[in-house]
Order: sequence, then structure tokens, then C-alpha cells
Amino acid sequence: MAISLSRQARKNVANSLRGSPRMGDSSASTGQLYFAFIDNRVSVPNGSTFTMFDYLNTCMNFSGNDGAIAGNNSQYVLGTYISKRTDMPTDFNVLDDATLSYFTQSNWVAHNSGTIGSVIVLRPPNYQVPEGTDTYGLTNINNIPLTFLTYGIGPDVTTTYNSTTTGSVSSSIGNNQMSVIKNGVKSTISGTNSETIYGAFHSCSDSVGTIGSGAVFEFDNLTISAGATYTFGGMNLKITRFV
Amino acid sequence: MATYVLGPMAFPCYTWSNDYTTTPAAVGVYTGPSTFQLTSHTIGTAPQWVSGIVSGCGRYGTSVKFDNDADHDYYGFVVESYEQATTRLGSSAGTTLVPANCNLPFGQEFFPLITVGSTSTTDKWQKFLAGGPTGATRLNIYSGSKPTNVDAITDLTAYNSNLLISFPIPAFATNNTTGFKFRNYDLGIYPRIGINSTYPEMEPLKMVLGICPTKTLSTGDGNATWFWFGNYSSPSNLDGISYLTGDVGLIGSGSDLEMADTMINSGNYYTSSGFNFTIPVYYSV
Repeated sequence: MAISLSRQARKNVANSLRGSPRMGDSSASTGQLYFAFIDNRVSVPNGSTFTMFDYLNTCMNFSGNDGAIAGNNSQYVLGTYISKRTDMPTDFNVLDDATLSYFTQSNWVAHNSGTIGSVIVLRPPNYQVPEGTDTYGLTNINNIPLTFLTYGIGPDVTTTYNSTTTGSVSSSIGNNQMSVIKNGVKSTISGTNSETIYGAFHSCSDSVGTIGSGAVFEFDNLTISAGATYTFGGMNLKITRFV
Repeated sequence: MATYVLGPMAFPCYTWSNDYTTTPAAVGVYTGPSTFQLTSHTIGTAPQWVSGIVSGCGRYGTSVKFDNDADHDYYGFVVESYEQATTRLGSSAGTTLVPANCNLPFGQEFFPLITVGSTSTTDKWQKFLAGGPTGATRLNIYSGSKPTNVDAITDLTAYNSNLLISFPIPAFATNNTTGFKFRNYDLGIYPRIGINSTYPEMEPLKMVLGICPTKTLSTGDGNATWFWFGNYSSPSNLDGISYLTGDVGLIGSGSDLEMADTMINSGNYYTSSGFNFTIPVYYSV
């Protein structure tokens, strides 16, 4: 296939990736992005037997060994970064050359040691998640919101969520319910079988490199030690062609 | 090469309500863990349609009206200024405005690649690649060598001497007979809203663009080798216009647009069943 898109068409694609339909609503939603930095012991799938579901289960489902790699899976998330609500308008843009760009030079604290091999980008549910609050167990934007990531990576949370003293969110799965955005409105559908569904997953990539390398995701250092502070350079995805 | 992969939150096609803050009439049902099926889809009226890369409508709130077009026939999204959010200044028919508090830069525009809107025109309609009213897009078939740099095609009329056929593409029809169609989705079934054990992968969005069942007169003689398809709002100045180019070949050649016979004779009538267009899930970066 030799189809070539014009620059405007490529910008439209980048804009569509940027402005996912769920990112804004009539209330003050934040449209935040969550970046999870994944150890290179887990490979980004390429459409083979290790599926995207396997990859997400391995990296994000901390409730047990549901992935293809044995053991408690939380060790593969070396750290996370959560975009600030106030930074989104200026920092997440489509450049004139059809690059989807999230610019930041922000620090993050590593939770596990390893080597960054890939990055998972998540869009949280449509609820407002102000930075620095504990609404969904996010006590610190640099901490891994383990419970949230366990259950929040799915269709949008129910309108009635369990917010325990630890800030955990037991949403669709524990209550045997699932929330979806149905007709643009959050709806709760009961009676579904409990299962793990990843709906807040935006994208992922194993294009990682040091700042200035031209990789999709850039860091000051890819070799990570638990407890140390590192710099996340941001994301640059250039829409060049389709196949 | 590294890989970049799209997930449900980045992928095209999603349903929107015409009124986010109140319960709208049902436009679909939840049919499974990772699918959501449309049950109604009316072009040009209640904008309960797909959004994202393929769009037909936008947000609509009771407190802030996002569009002043009674047909709710949206082509894309324009982030209105803070002032516009409350006073509706500058809105034009056919555009959809989103409130400033959704964290997009004031004044930024982002448009769907493909729109199912078909009845209204707006000064923003040149931004989309496919869709719109009849004639908004064209499929032009050419002889000779395809330009190697798609962005260097600044004036489409410069290739008129090689133009063999120019199909004015009809508006999109829900029966998949005109405009474009989805190859791997029923009109009512969206791409995955989630990934689970039953549906462990996203599916690429596979479409056919440039469907023109209207018999169209060819204006040139020659061997069809390449095509141009896109927004025809300004053919002599393609700056800021969405379009694409592709190769023409015989059926079975694997070309982007396949024909039984690539030899075109002027004065004959032709129809177009379109060409394949895919938005993949996995990208090499």
C-alpha cells in the first residue's frame, strides 16, 4: 500500500489521538494523562501470541499473576508520571509537522529498579482527578496508584465508587458492574461477569530513549534505581504515514 | 524499528450524545465486554454518532450550547475561547465548540479525518479528508507519474493534463453505498471500547473511501497509474487541505485502487467502488 496523507490529514490524525472523545465534558474534567514506565523485561506485543491484553495484564494488573510472566506483576512498573491538569492545554499539542507532542521536563521518583523498555499511556476515567488529592488513592502524583491502576484501567468507573480510607477504587469489577460512556453519559450496567477490562489504555510504545534521541518517549536516564529521582522528557509521536 | 500501539482511548470512532448532561434517547446498547452497538444513526439530526478520527458530531451540553446549527451536522471541533464558551461569539453553522474547561488550548482546532456529516457547509469543512456533502471530496484518477512528495502537490490543477476521471464523491450513506464505508465494522458496532481476554487486541479501522456509484464521464485518455483523493474545497491551493495519493493497478495487483482495466477512454462513463483505507493499531516508529 502506497497511500500518502497530506500534512493536514496527518495533523487531523494527530489531533484525533490528542483529543480523544472522553477527554472533556461539561464539567471541569481534567483530561489528564498517566504515563507508566515499564521495565524492559516485558516486551510490547507485536500482534503475536503475547497479546495486548497479556501485556497490560502483566504490567498493570497488580492483583495477581494474570499475565504471561510469573509473580507479582507490580515490579515491572518502574515509576509513573501524571500530567498536571493545568499543563495539558499548553503541553499536549499537535505541532505543524503533525507531531503529537507532550512536552515536559518533569521529575519522577522510581519505585522499582530496572531498565525502561516501554511506556504505557493511560487516560483516566472522565471524572476529575485533581493532582495532589486522594480521591482515587492518588496521594502523590509521583506514586504508583496501585489500586487505581488495578481497577481503574477499564471502562469509566461507576457513578458510585468505593473510596476507602486508603483511597482505593473498587469499581466495575468488584461490584459486578461495568460503567461505560453510553451516549456520552456515564451509565452503569449491572449483571456483567466480573472480568478485567482495559479501557483507559490510550497507547504504548517501546520507542524509548534519552532526551534528544528522537525516541517517542524520552528520559534523562533509562537505567533506573528504586528511590532515585529522574526526569521524564515527554512524548513526541510524528504521524508520517499509514499502511 | 520500535512499535507504537493504539488503545481504546486513542482509537477512532466513539459515540457522542447530543446532550451530555441529560440522559439522551438510547442510541445503542452494550453488547459485550468490549463492544457497543449502535441501534440508530441519523445523519444530520440528533448527533449521536461516532467521534474521533471519524466524526459526525460533537459535544452538546444543556448549559452551554455547542452549536447553532439546528441540524447538528458537525464537521469537527473548535475549542472556543473562554468568552465564546458563554457568549457563543464567533460560532458558525456546522462547527462544534467544546468548552474551554476541557483543557484544550483556547482557539485550537482539531478535526476529524473523516466525517459522516453531510448536509451543512462551514468554513471549516476543508479540514476533513472524507465525508461531507456531495462533491465536498473528489477522487481524481491520473496517468503519468505520481508525485513522490505528497506535500509538494500544492496546486492540483497543475496535473489537469494527466487527469482521466474526476469523481465527485456523494455524501456518506448509512447503507454503505456512497461516500465511504467501514469494512470491518457494521455501522452499529464500534471498535473495541476495552481490551479483555475475549478481545485481547484492538482492531484496525478498515474503510473504503471514494465510493461513487454515479456514472461519471471520463475526460482523458490514458493508462491510470495514480489517484488523488480528498477535500475539494480549494484544488488550486492545497495548503491546509486534507488529501491523499495512492497507486492504481489491476485487480489482484495489490494496488491501493484496483481496476479491471486501467486503460481509460475519454467519453466513457465510469463508477467507483472506492479504495481501501486503513488506520492501523500497530505502527513502526
